Amino acid sequence: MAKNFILEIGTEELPPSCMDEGSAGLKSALENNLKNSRIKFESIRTFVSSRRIAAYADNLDDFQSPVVKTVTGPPKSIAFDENGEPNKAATGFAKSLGVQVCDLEEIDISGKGIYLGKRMKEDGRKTAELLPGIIRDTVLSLTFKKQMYWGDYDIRFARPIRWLAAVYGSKVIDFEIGTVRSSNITYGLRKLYPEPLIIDKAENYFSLLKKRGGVIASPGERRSLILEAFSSLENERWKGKYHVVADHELMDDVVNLVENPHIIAGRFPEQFLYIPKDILIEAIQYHQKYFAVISENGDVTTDFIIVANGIRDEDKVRRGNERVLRARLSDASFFLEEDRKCSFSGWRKKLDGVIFYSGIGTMGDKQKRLEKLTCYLAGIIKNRPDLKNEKMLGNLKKASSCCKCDLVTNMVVEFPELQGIVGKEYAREKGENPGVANAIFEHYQPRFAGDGLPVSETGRILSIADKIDTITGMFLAGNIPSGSEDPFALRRKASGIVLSTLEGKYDYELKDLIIKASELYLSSFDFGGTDMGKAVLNIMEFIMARYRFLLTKKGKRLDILDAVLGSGCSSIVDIDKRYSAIEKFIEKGDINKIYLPMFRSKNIIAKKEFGEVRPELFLEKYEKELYDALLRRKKGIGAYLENGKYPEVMDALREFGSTVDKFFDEVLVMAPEENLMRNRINLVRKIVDLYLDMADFSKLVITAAEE
Amino acid sequence: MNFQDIIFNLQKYWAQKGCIIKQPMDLEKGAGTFNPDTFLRCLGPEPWKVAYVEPSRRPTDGRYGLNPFRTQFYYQFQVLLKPSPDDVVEQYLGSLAGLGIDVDNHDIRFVEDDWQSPTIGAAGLGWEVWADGMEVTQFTYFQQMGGLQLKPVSAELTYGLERIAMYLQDRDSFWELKWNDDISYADVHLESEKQWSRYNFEVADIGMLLDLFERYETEFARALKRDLIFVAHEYVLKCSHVFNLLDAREAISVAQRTSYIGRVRKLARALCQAYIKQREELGYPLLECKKDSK
Repeated sequence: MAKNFILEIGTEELPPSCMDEGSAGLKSALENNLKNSRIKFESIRTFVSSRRIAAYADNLDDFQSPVVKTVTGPPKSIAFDENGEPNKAATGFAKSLGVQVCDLEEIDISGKGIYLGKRMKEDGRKTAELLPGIIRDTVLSLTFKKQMYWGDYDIRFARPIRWLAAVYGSKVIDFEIGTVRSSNITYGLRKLYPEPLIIDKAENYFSLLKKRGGVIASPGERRSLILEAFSSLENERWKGKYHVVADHELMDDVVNLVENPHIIAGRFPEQFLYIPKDILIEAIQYHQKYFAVISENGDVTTDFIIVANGIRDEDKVRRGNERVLRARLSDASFFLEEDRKCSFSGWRKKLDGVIFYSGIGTMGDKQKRLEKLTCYLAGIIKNRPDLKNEKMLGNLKKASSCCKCDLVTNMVVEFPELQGIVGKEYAREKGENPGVANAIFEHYQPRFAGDGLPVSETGRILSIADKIDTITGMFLAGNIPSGSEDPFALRRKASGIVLSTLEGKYDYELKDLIIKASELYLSSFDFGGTDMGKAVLNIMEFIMARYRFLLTKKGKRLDILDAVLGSGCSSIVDIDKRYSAIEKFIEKGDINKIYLPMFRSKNIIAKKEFGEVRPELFLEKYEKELYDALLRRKKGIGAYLENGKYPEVMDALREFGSTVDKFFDEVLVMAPEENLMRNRINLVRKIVDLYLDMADFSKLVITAAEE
Repeated sequence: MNFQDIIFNLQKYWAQKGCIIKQPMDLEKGAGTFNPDTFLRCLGPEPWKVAYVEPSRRPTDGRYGLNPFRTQFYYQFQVLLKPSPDDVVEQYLGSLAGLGIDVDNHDIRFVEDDWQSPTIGAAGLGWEVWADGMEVTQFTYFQQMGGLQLKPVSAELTYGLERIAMYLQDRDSFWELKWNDDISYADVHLESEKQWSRYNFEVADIGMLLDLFERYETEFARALKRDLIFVAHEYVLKCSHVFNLLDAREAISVAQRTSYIGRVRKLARALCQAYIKQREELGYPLLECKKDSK
């Protein structure tokens, strides 16, 4: 037999940020604890709203599953006397189990021998008896990134626990956490449905909450209700002409802020429509969590949407919220007017008063480094004269001298999420050309996972330089991401560097850029005994780890990347080109003609090095031939490498492979004569170096199919 | 409801809930949290229930009286409930009803807002409470003060009196609020707001302030050495206010700023430790009093 089970942890209003955590944590903890207690169930679903985290188990068995336990007694060898009669050891053991010696079994314990013992079936205990302990353990095991204490209790949770409801079938499961004792009582919306609600049966929980408590426990259902209300407003009220700006993050928040979404459309005065669009939308969304409404041509309208929590008097709530938004917008408008009185040069001065990070100075310092770093980066990008012309450099200098200025504007201090957007708008207002204005916005991209990349060259270069500067600074200051800790989103920044570099096809040595960034820091700050060479390598590795991650996400092979990195190449674009050349070559099925000769060569030399090759010591035909081929190939391959013609390099290496193979087949490298052996090893080393100019092919993982 | 009636109502309500009603402290401070009735009383095991109005000063928020609701001087109504009662939210909602906020017909929302004050090493978790979108209260469960973990935990309710009045009187600006039937908030505070804004931003004597900070810091140490906890506490507040003024005068460089905040935090920490020790030596008199009354 089985019954359904509902557990509800009633809390004070939970922050939306902890709800997924709570819901997922409860599900896995309850599943594990039930499994460990051998109680079977069909499924467990969890639900979360601002005042509750609930778990519902379908068909939870009435009893634990029975278990067979083996009890072992004395070794057989000491349990019987010379006549084969059981001695005290055997009878005593049988007695302790309440059975006869003849009921005992022989248990073979591997490595130890045969023991007397008995397999005993243990019936499961009643689920209802076990549940109090299981639930207590489950609830107390939940953890949140941010948790708190309350009152005088020793319990920690995301917000205070105020009631506990636990009903199995129709039976209350009785337990206590702190001073809160469980019952079959739940609560609906605070004000509209203040009466306690009795859960008579677990399966009635959801309908009870919805009908008599006004609470929709499922986040998915709340979301659909909100979206449905949006589309009915769009179709009926606005006849398809206006649309709600259904920002994702805002929606996630709002779904979890209300237990019973009640959508109300409000309006604000037209006088605020002069505020630039992005700023206006943010002012509507940011503090108040309203949704903005835009017209067919994308302009913000005076309509906005309030998602209230189960209310009675729509008019009163609308009026209240309209007043609040009016105040917010007059605030935004006040900030706009105040900011219009200032200039970028004034803001630049103020940046000197904003700490970038402790130990590595101010945003003003950062801004000054960026001016140098962007120009340096533009300078080292190969084959791109267009990035070095006067207009381009002019834009870069301008944008990199003021991209952080908006941080000290009234508007961004009030609406931090508008960084970049405000900078762009203000630059435009002050008459900067669109190239500069756009770059100010773009340099923050990608701002979140899945965000777009900078589109303009200026924005892209500035974006890469800014991110390199931040990562370098943080590494030098010892603030290196570890595990889930990455408060400055350095990983996302590193991904941004890789993606933008590839997108712009910017061929530059990443290592040089990092060295330059470090030098800019070193000229102003003291990092004590930091080993700069090592720091540069660490940063390089950190960024490459993101490249690796991006390749993995695309299902690409990492061994190819390792091979390419083995060449010492540090230009992301160049790495990418070599990668594709090798990848394509592998598809052709010929990779062994490069892999094997290189692998053999590398094994032979195994870090030995004796100096230059002396052709006068060659005795054998094939070593002479190899040497000549090497000289020839080195020239040809060198030219291909120079021009990035990697498929040609691969073809040349394949052809070269047969000469190498011949050499190994016909010539004894480890010759008894010391001088011959050394000379041959030196020759093989040259061979390895030739391969390494392209990649360290020995790092490839060759599958059977490729062999 | 007039501005002053809001205060009367809150005082009456919280008195009924067992709070002592105190009067503001006679010293400049940034928030009701700095008042010893919160700052010190939240420490240690003794219970405490108090409510008071706190005139608060934040020199950098001055706007010469031009901004509708940003001022360098404003009023908080502060309630501290220690330990936080199990029905603290219901008690709080009751206080809104007492103000004539018809909580049944309005959208009252608890929106996550965790609070930190690095200057005094304080941190808490809680919400800003919205009435139809208007922030009317900061509701915090104190977790730390002076860098020390708190047990029991206090609930701190900070009502923004002017904002509540805006909501109740349907006004868009502090200055239009009615203090009583005849006198407006502007009549009472506008002129002083303008003068203080000018003083804070333009006039305050930087040399004197820098000097005062040093002297107050020294005096703090002298007082603390002699176990004069409440005296030492006031010198922490004086340091903090002088620092805020220097900040408004833009007289502190970045490096100095961090170091000033660090210095104040150090004082706050030493103070909190000394207070806890002193209460322990006194045998936690309020714990006794609680037992007697039972």
